[in-house]
Amino acid sequence: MHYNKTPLYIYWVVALLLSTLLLAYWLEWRHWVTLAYQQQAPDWFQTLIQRIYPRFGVEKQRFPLEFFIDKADQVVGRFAFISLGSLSFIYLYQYKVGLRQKIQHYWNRPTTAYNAQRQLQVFAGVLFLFTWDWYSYLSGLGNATAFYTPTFPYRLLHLPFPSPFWLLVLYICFLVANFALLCKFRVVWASIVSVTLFVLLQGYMYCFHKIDHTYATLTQVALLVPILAWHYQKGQLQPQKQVAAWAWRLMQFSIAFTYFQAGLEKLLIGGINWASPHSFRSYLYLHPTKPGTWVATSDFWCTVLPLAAMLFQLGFITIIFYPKLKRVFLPAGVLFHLGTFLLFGIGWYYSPWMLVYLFFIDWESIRFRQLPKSTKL
Amino acid sequence: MNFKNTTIWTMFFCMCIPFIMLNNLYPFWRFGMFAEPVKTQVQTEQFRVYCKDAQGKTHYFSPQSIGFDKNQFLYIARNYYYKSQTVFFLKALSSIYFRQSPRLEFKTWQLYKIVVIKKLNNLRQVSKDSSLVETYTPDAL
Repeated sequence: MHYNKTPLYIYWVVALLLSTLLLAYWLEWRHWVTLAYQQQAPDWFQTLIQRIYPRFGVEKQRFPLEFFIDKADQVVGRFAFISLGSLSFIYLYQYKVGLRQKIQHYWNRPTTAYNAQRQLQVFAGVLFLFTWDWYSYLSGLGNATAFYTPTFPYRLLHLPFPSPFWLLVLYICFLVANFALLCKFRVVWASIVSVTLFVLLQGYMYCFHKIDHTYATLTQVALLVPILAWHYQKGQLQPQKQVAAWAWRLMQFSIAFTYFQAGLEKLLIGGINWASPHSFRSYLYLHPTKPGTWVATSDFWCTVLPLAAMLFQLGFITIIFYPKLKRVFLPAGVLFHLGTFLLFGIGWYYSPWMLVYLFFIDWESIRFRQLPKSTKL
Repeated sequence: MNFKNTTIWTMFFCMCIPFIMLNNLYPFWRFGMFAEPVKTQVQTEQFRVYCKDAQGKTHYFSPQSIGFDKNQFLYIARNYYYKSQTVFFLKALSSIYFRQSPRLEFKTWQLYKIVVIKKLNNLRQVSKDSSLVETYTPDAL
């Protein structure tokens, strides 16, 4: 099959443009951070910082100038890293036929309608499990609207905190949509309503100065649920009941990529010293628990545990390329989150971070294994 | 680009934006928890509110009494402290509290900041510093 390739010189032009931007930052724009810290930067730059980094005003009181210069270096470095990484990937994808075929095979391989249906039901079930108390929690926050500070998308859309009546209406719609999804009734509409309200209601909780990571991976998965529902509905009409599975695979990729990012953050900010017993001990003392205090007394555990955590976070993404590694990384993930709860008191015994692993299960293969031998092809 | 490829790339870039900008961009997050550089000392910061009733007796104000958990309350208090808006903070707190428990009357609201420092090479050496940040007396009382 003929494949349109971008001419090589385009790659060189983009790479040159990126290098010029990096050089310009190093020679000129880096100094603007100092000016912004001293309130002497041009107005538009000061406004821009306020828009994209609203905590700057608060953090300026707590941290020295070097902290912000370091942050700016990180932003520019990461931008270059992602841009060059994406550019290299596109080049390899276009020019290496073998790699392209593998990637296309990964995304284009279909799944069964049964598996897609189970994924949607698992999603609805997980939402029921974690959102049953949201109405009472949000009602409580409704009494404290004096502290309501909308986060970025809410600020942009001028969304006020809902009145008790509207909160109740939204929550009932959310429950009904989840129930419909669980019962396979109008799955596309049910998933759109369910996901929209899940993201909307959750966001209201973060409009009180604290953004929580509890539902991070579940939310990323949620954003793709309506697409899977749409393919599921289309697949139902086909005689073979085959469903495009790329949305499901993208859910898995987003979970794995999240862990990779978390590991990379530690490497980029803390460096290799992050895995030293000294730094792990300081985290244990910052979030004291009984088991954590015991672990802090041991150099061995304070070396092994952070190293294992970093290896786990950076290595989790390999399950995308080698699905058999799920048997290692998923139990390791459960231990990782349980360990975080026991040692730091963060999270809970059952956290959404662990339950999203259910999206790595191919329910069709489980059903196939359960079938009597005579019915298997 | 078809719908599939557009969605995959969009999802990828949306996930990368908080990573690049070192900031959350809801509904996408930055995962920088426990990534800060190594410290030689562990410093924790707490904010507490105490109220005095008509008899001059001091009561600890529990954030749970207005539906906040301890962590959320800490974030809010810290934010108003560093923005030098502690009067607004205490005023808002007292009005929320009075709305929920109109019978309880507190004459004075006080915000304290407590800093606990532990040296990592000598954990027994703990220094605690608490300071009164703001006092607020509601006019209506």
